[in-house]
This record gives sequence, C-alpha cells and structure tokens, in this order.
Amino acid sequence: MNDLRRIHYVAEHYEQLQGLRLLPLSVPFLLSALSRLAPSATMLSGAGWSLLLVSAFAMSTLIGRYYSRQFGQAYPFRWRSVCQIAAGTAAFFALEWLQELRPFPIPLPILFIAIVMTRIGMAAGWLRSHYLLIAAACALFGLLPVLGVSLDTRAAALDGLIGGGLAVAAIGDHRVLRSVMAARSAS
Amino acid sequence: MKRQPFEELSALSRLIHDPSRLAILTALAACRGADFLFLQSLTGLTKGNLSGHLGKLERGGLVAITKSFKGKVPHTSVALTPQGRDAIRRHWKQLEQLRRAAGKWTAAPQVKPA
Repeated sequence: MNDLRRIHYVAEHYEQLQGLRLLPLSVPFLLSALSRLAPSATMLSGAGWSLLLVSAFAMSTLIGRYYSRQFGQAYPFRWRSVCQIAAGTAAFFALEWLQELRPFPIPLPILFIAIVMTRIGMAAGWLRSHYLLIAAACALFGLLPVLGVSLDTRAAALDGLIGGGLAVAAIGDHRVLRSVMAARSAS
Repeated sequence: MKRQPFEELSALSRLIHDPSRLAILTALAACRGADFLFLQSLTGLTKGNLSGHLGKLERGGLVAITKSFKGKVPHTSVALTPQGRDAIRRHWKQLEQLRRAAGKWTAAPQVKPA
C-alpha cells in the first residue's frame, strides 16, 4: 500500500519533485544574504539581480529537459496546482494584512509557511522529510523579532532562509525522485 | 444480504488487481496522463512487460494510448479513459472496504497443547 501511495504521490507531484530546477533560483538569494552580511562585499545591483533571476529561469527550463529525458513526462492536473497556489498566496497575504493590523510577536506569514512546509514534509509517509528542516528554519526565523535581532540581520537572514530553503528543497526533492525511480528500476 | 469478505475479494477485477497494472493505473489516476518512459521509470517494469500490460488495459477500455513522433523520435502517451478512472476509483473503494472489514476480524483463541 505504501508503494502505491508513493507512486501516486510522485505521479501527482512529478514537476515539483524535479528539484534541481529550483537550485539556480537559490543563488541570487544566497548572494544577496552574503552581501548583506559582509559589509565589504558589493551589494547586488538591480540589473545584476534581474540578470541572475533571468539566467536562473533559463537554467531551470534546461534542467527540466534533463528530467524529461531521464524519467519521461507526466501531465499534471493544472487546476489543482493553480488552486493550491492561489489559496496559499491568498492566505499568506491575509495573514500579512492581519499582522499589520495587529502586530503579533511572531510573524504570522512565516508561521503559515512553516506549517505548509511541515505538511509537505509529512506527506506520503515522510517522503519529503527535508521540508521539516525548512519548517524548522522558518520557525527559528519567526523567533528573531522576539530575540531582539536587528532589522539588518533579519533582512540578511530572510534572504538566507529563502536561498537556503530553495537549495535544501532542490537537492532533497532531486534525491527523493532519483531514489524512487531508481528503486523501481532496480526491483 | 450483506456480502462476505471473500465474495468481495473474488469480485475484485483481475484486470486491475494485478500488481503491475495496479501501479500503472495508480500513477495514471494521479495525473492527466504520462508518457511511456515515465511509467517505465516509476513502475520499474521492462519495456516488454509495460507494453504488454498497457495492451491489456487498452483492450479492457481502461487506458487510451496515443502514439506520435517528437521530431524523429517515437513518443507514446498514455491516459486513463473516463471508464478507467471510474474503475480505479471503484477498485480503491473496494480495497478500502476490505481493509476496514479485515480490521474487524478477530483471531480465533489459540488452544494450548496439553
């Protein structure tokens, strides 16, 4: 039954599990975090940032082709992803609005992301357990205002969290996909 | 009259219940469709085996197979038919009912040897 559950999950989330597609996107955020932390380092200019993002998207497309060649293609139900993204974005901005209306000690949007990451990490028999690390990092980040960390450091930490989170998700998802596909090929 | 578990078990469709075909149908139920390579990678079946199972499922009206060319490379796409989608949903429901029924069965008390 667990095997079938994993097969169902991988087929349903195949595009999301193509982790390496996310890896180039983590680079601009990690560079930004580094440049904020090291005062001597030059800040990324707007044009530099845009160039990095465009290159990241181009690389992401190329990496997508690698997955198609390696493991084939599955055609997901687009409306499901669209609904999930729309609901997630709406909830995030609603919480952001609520936070501005009545400041809570812990940022609610970050808490929401931590919960979503935990849910992903627990899905299909903890198949993507690396998301729990991201959830823990989000929770830690949420505690920074309570700990009295300065705004500058928090800005660097946010970039680091996004970049690091993308990198962890990218490598973890890629490993999951490879292990599931390789295990089936070997059996 | 309520059917007994064994009757329900024998009522399961053999076309669907074969492990390989159940894996194929489970994968296809989670998406709009997939190509041959994806199904092969996910199920770990050989080309010949996968081809054979897909043929049986197509003859049973559960999947639709589309063959085309991407450039000069042949490309095979597979999708569940509406009938196939209903059938796999029904099959999962039957399995779930069996699982629930099995949970209520009690083991007979063991007799200790004298």
